[in-house]
Amino acid sequence: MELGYYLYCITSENIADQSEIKGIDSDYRLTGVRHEGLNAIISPISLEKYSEEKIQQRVEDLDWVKDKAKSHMDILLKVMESAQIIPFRFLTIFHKQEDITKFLKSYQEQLLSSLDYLEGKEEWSWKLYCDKKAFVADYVERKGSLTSNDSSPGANYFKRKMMKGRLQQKAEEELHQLIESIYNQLDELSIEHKLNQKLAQEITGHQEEMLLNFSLLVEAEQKERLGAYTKEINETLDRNIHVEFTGPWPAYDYCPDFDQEE
Amino acid sequence: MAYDHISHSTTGASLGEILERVLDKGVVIAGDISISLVEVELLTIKVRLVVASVERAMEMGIDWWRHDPMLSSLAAEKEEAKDIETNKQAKIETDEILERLERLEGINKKLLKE
Repeated sequence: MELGYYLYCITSENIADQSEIKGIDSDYRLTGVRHEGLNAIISPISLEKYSEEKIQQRVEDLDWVKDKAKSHMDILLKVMESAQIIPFRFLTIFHKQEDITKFLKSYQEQLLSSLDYLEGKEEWSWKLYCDKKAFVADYVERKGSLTSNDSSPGANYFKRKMMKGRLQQKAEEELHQLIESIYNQLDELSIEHKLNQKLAQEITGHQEEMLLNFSLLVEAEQKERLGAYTKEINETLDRNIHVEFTGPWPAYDYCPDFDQEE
Repeated sequence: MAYDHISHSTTGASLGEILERVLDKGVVIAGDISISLVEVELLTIKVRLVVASVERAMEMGIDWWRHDPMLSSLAAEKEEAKDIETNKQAKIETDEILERLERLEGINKKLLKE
């Protein structure tokens, strides 16, 4: 049977044995391809099951993608327990094992310096959710009670209407200011940060909208401070705003971008 | 590692957290030595994932954040100037309406007394 080689990530050479872990194709286990200080974590896969044609059909099936994407991530997280990694895109499959060695040779310098840069750092996700309608409603209620009642009933009604419109606008402004101060804080508490695309509610499973989706590259001490800052936001800022701070993730936002044009 | 209820660790991570990473990011290898058609094929799923969120971002008006802070503050100033103008207009209209309302209520009161 013909075999291909699925590449999960690249680590430095000093890494614990991973051969207990099952690969994407669960008939095979993880193994390493080494080259001068680098170790590519791979597993064989049956090209019968994972031919280009088969994959084309299967990626149409969202359940299959979910399942395999989860396996891919689980394997990365497992390997990360014993080493810093450079993660690869889902379904990176080589036809020949020699080609992986060739790849390591060609990009040795970049891979090593990337691993060196990532050493002692972690990628964390910082996502802010907000029930915007409730935020605005709360704001209007808080400030709206200050309206005076000194005109005729009709005029009072009308004034309250007008005031509400103005307060709604102010609430939006306040939200923007909050976001700006949060941004400044995150900037200070990370080595690098990247603002990612917001995810749809169908994907996050949250009722509230995602307003911010940050990926942060942090050192240990920053991570502690971020944890405290996140806690403060969740407990004291506003009941309609909450943050999910998760990690460590494979450094997907901070891995090298190889120019393979040549 | 988790911070009490605030965050959960990466074990048992949500599907969104996984897909946004593995489908879209990570090192990509040139097609001649690996199976690479996947990138194109996965596009449908990626589109399903993010299209809704992009539209929502525009709707939200928070898109300015994507740009340079310098630019965004300039844009904010421009917006502010526009807002002041609109507010002025609205104030004039409101005053007029209030005046008319007070007058009508006055007439109404008089009519009720008669």
